[in-house]
Amino acid sequence: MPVDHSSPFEDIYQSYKNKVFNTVIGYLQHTENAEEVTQDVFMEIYRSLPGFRQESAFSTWVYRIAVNKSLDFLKSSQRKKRLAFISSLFSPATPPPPDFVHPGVLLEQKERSVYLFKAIDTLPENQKTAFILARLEGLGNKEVSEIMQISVGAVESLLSRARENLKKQLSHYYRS
Amino acid sequence: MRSLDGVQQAEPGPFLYHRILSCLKESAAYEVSKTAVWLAAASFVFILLLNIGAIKKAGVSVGSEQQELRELAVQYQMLNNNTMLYN
Repeated sequence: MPVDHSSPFEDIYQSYKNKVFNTVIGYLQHTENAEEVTQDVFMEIYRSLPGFRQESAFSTWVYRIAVNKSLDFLKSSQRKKRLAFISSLFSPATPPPPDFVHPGVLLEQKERSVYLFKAIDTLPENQKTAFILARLEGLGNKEVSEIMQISVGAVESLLSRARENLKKQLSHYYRS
Repeated sequence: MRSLDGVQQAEPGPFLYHRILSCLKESAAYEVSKTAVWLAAASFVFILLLNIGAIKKAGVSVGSEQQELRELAVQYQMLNNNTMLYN
């Protein structure tokens, strides 16, 4: 498969790089890992582009790849964490990862956003996806429903449950 | 919850596009073309058929050789087929 430097692929990259990276970083909460997954997303886009059947909007298709790759990465890193936990029983403990600060959050909100992202990390998969796409990416409920392949009502319900769960988590953080 | 108000999109590093291009180039170098895959599969099937043919042919010739030997043995009365006692 030859790589054409002046192909429309560069235009696609330029148009979608921030959307993909922003979505991925919402899930992973780690800049280096988010770049790695963003790279995987664009490689998948490049490989699958000839097979894109235009059954959905191109942006929907791109977001779907980004969401799936992020969830796959999270699953594999959870497996690694379980293995690391077992090996940590026999070796000195590693320090916990530093708090994640989203690079796009306003300066005055950075400290509070740390707790919010910790709370987002505890949400169930579907609620997390709906919340990231709607609140972090700023997509409308219809677009989120198309990406998640569920009804608009289901997205509203997921968002409402996500908000409830986040409120509970945040009240717990602020109390402690 | 309001800490996401006014949030800006995060941007990837400036060299990510070049990294993606080099990864694509690398994977393209290792990629095998469809023609090569079909050619390999066809060669495999051809060799398999040749082998099957050779085995079948060998089986037939072994069978005919044994038949010839049996006929020769009968001709020269080397096979003790009858249960009659010698007179």
